[in-house]
Parts: sequence; structure tokens; C-alpha cells
Amino acid sequence: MTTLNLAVGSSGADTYKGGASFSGTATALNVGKHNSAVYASTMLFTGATVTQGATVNSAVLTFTASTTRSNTTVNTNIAFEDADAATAPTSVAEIDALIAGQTTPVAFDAVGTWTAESEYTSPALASSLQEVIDRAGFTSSSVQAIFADDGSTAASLVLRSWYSYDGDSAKATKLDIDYTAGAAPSGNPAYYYAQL
Amino acid sequence: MRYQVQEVSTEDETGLTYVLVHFWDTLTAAQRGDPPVLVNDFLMQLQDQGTRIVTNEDGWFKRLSDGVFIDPETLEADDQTEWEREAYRVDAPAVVQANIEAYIVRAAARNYSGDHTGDATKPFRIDGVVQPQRESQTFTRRTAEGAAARADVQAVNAGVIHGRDRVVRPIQGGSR
Repeated sequence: MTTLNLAVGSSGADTYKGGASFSGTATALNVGKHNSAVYASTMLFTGATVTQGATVNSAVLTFTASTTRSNTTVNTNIAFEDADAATAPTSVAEIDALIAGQTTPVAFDAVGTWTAESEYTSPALASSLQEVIDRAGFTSSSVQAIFADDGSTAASLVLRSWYSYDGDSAKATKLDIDYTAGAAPSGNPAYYYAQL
Repeated sequence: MRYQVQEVSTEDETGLTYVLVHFWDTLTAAQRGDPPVLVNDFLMQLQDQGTRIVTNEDGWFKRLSDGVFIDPETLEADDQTEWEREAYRVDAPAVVQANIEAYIVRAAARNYSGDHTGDATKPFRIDGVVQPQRESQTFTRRTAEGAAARADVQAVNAGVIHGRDRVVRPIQGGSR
């Protein structure tokens, strides 16, 4: 098995915080800034049956914009929860803790205009997800993406918003992972070992 | 690339939809029975039924408390209004094809070839380099259930060759 096409699959599995506010049931997720409130969102994917230690060839998130937003620059980071089995947060403090302990983030800067109902993809996230898959205790069950403002977005109404599971379950965030299972121990190709 | 779905079933352990696909560069190659240049299988989290907010023809949301339609563009980012929801049938075949076609984009960008199904007896290459693939992953399958059992989803596995021929761009300014 080498490609997983996952999607947020339940209410509460995708959440956001905006300043001191938290929601796990809102119709949309947000990233960026609104006045002085900094927004970050999390998206939990179950069914992540990647074998521990497998090589991630590609990992990409797809968002369906819920609102048209074009206002100025949004600078963000995307990373994953650095955990053997991810769980959705239930408070602002838990999102903050996830950000503090996340895998190496991938910059997603100068995010352009998002038009309602259009799909947008993240930068390549393989390296960040690889850190999770390489954990000795990774359980091949769930991973969680964290999409957060990086602190350099101008303080005004500069958000990007996309469908949550509660907004439209079929338009909730998707995660596509291509991988190859278990690396061989030397330079010989895998099929060489299979023929021994 | 051209592709043909070989199988749509349900993976026993996870309940995810298993989709096996063969790929060729051209329709001609597919039709004359050439071996596929790339083979991949997918585990997809398909939905049979979705839920969404009830909207009018302008896309405005229907408020649960009074039935009034509200322009979503006017909502604050932290809006907590409760909206009326409805169940609907998800276009699962379109999701299957979108997942495959997104893979084609990645495969073309990274020049995937060979067998990408996790079968350690067959080579898989990225840019012509064989990738270490020591362990074969095993999984169990069963008769299709849920979204995978729908006639319209099974119809993508009806011998149809989908997609477009692979475009090979000429080298700019060069000559042989």
C-alpha cells in the first residue's frame, strides 16, 4: 500500500483557536490574524496506516476555501503533532502545547487569495511528517496537522478560512500521503532481498 | 497519463476503500496491452453520505433558530451560529478520480515508475532510481461495502481508460 487519501472524519477532529477562543465545532477553520488575535488550526487524520519507519515520498494537505479572502499577506507554518498517536485538542492551551512540541514546520508564506469553494494545496510536507513516522513508537493510527500563523502576519483582518468537517464533511481538509514501506539495510534494491 | 482502475474493494482491517490502478503514458499503449509504466494502490477514506449546511441559491447559510439565510461573507471568523444541516449523497466516483489524478501530478513531478504498491518483489523507481522497499505490506480485502459497494463507484472499475496522454515537452532551444 503506498498512497493514503485521508480526510478529517468527525466533528471535533478539526479545531481552531483565535486569541482566547477555541472551537471544535465551527463551520470553518482559520489561520492568520484578526485584529490582535492570532489564529491556528489543527486537523486530525485517523487511518494513517503508514508503517513505522517507512519513507514518506510525498505529503500534501488540500483545503477547500469557505470564504473568499484576499486581504494582504498571510505567513504561516504547517507541521505535525510529534506523537506516536495523535489526539485532537480541546482547548487553546492544548493547541499551544501542540505548536510548542510540533515537528519541524514547513513555511507557507505569502498565502495568496483564497476564493470560496476552490481547493488549495499546502507545500510539500514529507519531511515534517517523516519525523512522526520515524518515531520508534509510532502506532500507524493517527497523525495531526497544525496550521498556524508564524507571527509575522500584519495585525488586521488577514485570515484564510476553509471548510471544517462541521461546515461540510465532504469538503473537510484532506491529507494525501505517498510512501514506500520499510527501507532495505544496504544499497541493494528491495526486490533483491525478496529473491534471496 | 492514462489509467485504468483494476479493483475497488474494502480493506478489512481499516474499512478504507482499496483502489488498484494501472497507468500508461498513452492511450495507444493502454489499448494495445503494453505493461503499465506505473502501478499503484490507494487506501481512500471515502464518504457515502456527507453532511452540510443548508444554503439557498446564493450560497447563504440557513440559521437554525429562525430559518433566515445569512451571507457567509458577513460572518466573523469566530462565528458560533448554529445552522440547519442536511445529509447528501457524496459524489464518491469523482473523489476516487480526483485522488488518482492528484497522484498523477505527483508521479509526473517526481518521475515515479514501476510498482508502487509495496510489493518488495517488484522495483519502484523515483527519477529512475530504485527505492528501498524491503517489506511487503500485507492487508486483507473483502467484498466491497459502504461507498466502495455503490454501483457508481464500481463503475470506475469497468475497463474504462481514463485520463490524458502524457505530454513530453521538447527541450527549449536544443537540437539533436
